[in-house]
Amino acid sequence: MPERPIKLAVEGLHKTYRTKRPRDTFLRRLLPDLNSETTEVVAIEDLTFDIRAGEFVSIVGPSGCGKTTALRIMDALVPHDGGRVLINGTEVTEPRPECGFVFQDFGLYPWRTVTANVAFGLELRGVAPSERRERARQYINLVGLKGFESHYPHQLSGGMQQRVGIARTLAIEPEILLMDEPFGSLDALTRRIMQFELLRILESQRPTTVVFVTHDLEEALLLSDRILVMTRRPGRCKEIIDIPFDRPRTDAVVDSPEFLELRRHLWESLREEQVGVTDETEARAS
Amino acid sequence: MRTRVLSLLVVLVAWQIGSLLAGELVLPSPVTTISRFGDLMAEGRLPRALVIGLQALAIGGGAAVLVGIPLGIILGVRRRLGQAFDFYFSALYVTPFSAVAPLFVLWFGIDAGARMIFIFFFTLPQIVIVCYQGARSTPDRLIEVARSYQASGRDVFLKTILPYEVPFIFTALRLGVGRAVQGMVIAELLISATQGLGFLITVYGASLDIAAVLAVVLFIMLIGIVASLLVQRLEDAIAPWRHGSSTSGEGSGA
Repeated sequence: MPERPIKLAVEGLHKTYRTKRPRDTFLRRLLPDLNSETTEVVAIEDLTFDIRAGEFVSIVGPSGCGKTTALRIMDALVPHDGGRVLINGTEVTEPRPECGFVFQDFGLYPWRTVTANVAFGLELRGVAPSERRERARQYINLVGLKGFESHYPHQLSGGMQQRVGIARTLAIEPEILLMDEPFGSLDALTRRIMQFELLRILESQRPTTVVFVTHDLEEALLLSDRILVMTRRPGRCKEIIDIPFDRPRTDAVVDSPEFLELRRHLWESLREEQVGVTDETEARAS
Repeated sequence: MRTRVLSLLVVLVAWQIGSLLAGELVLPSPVTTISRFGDLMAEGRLPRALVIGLQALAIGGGAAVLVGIPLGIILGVRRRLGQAFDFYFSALYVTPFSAVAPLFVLWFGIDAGARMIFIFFFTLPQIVIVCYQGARSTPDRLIEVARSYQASGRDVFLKTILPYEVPFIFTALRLGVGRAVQGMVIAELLISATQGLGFLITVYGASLDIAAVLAVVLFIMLIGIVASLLVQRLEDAIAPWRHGSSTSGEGSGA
């Protein structure tokens, strides 16, 4: 594979959460502002990696390792405390038009129909209404929601709602797709269907670069070119694993010996980290 | 619908039994009350009394809506303003207005203008509080979505906070209409007791015509129900989506 340009670079990223914690439970309820002390939790510490154009990179890690936070920092949805994120070589300081974000809980507007939701990004960019409708129609067809154009989100199932979320993001034709556990709230069957749907959709949208946060190892293996494993909090890059399967990928990939071998490796790598998290939690509880 | 009819029947039977126990003079039976209601409607007394009050209701209540909706939204969007002022409206909401009605007479006299001002202050807190809660409860997630599409502050307000607010505005209207009707009657009872539905209650009460008093109360209830149904219809036509049933409403990003 020829060396492709670096699309997204994360350099020495730091993030510390400052939360006000109560000194005393009863007084805190009475005077929450006065009777508290600020505690600092280092969520991400010196996270560094590069993603090349057209790559599909998944980020996996134990719960609370800051993978979602890292993704949100990449689109400047939350501020960070050190390091920087570069997209096409320029530092990210505010949400960028090159990036499209897909949210775990879909984030659809309940007052907008499917078409109006999908057209939302175009509307903000001042695209004319007729072109907006045409582009929305095109992406609604792509995600397989033809016939549901004038439905409201509450009339759709979870899987269909996330199809709308994906169509809304693709409609702005982003160079980079940032996906935060997009199938995490779907049932197992729907999730598997959506994974293959995403593969199919991305085949038609190449070369889109994707950063995909998940805790589902099979999902990461099935979709990714590379998988970045994060350490437990404070999150750092533990290792990056190349996934060699050819595209377009099919069901057969999941049953191949290499797949099982990689899954075992990932699982052990993650378990080491997760065990630490569990110990910490139990130590705090006792 | 069948449940409603059944429930109405139960209430009417209970009312009838109560009337038999207490005596027709103290608690007139439903039949007496409804026939008295029919008389007063036929004579045109109830509609005329309503029309007299309507002007104060429309102006005082209308002003409360026009001021209350934007005020509630501003307090909800500007956190510090909200913190500084929200409790005044909670206080105003629980103020015993019948007790302070004499003050209104002292300050604003006893004409229609005084009644309008009374209805305005009586209705305002209800509308402000509901609109304030609505604007404040806009899910962070929806605002974040807009930001991820490079929405400006103005876009976030116009395309996220304001549409999210619409069902709350309708709730405010529905509750506000009821509150304004109450305000109108209290004003007619305690501020300028010379005409209107409140005045009718005073007159019939003084002459111990309990059936007529109940008939007027029945009429006021009907106005409230009809007004609230109309607002509901309007909401169904303008805002046919729902907040509760979609998972997209609540942010739960881990």
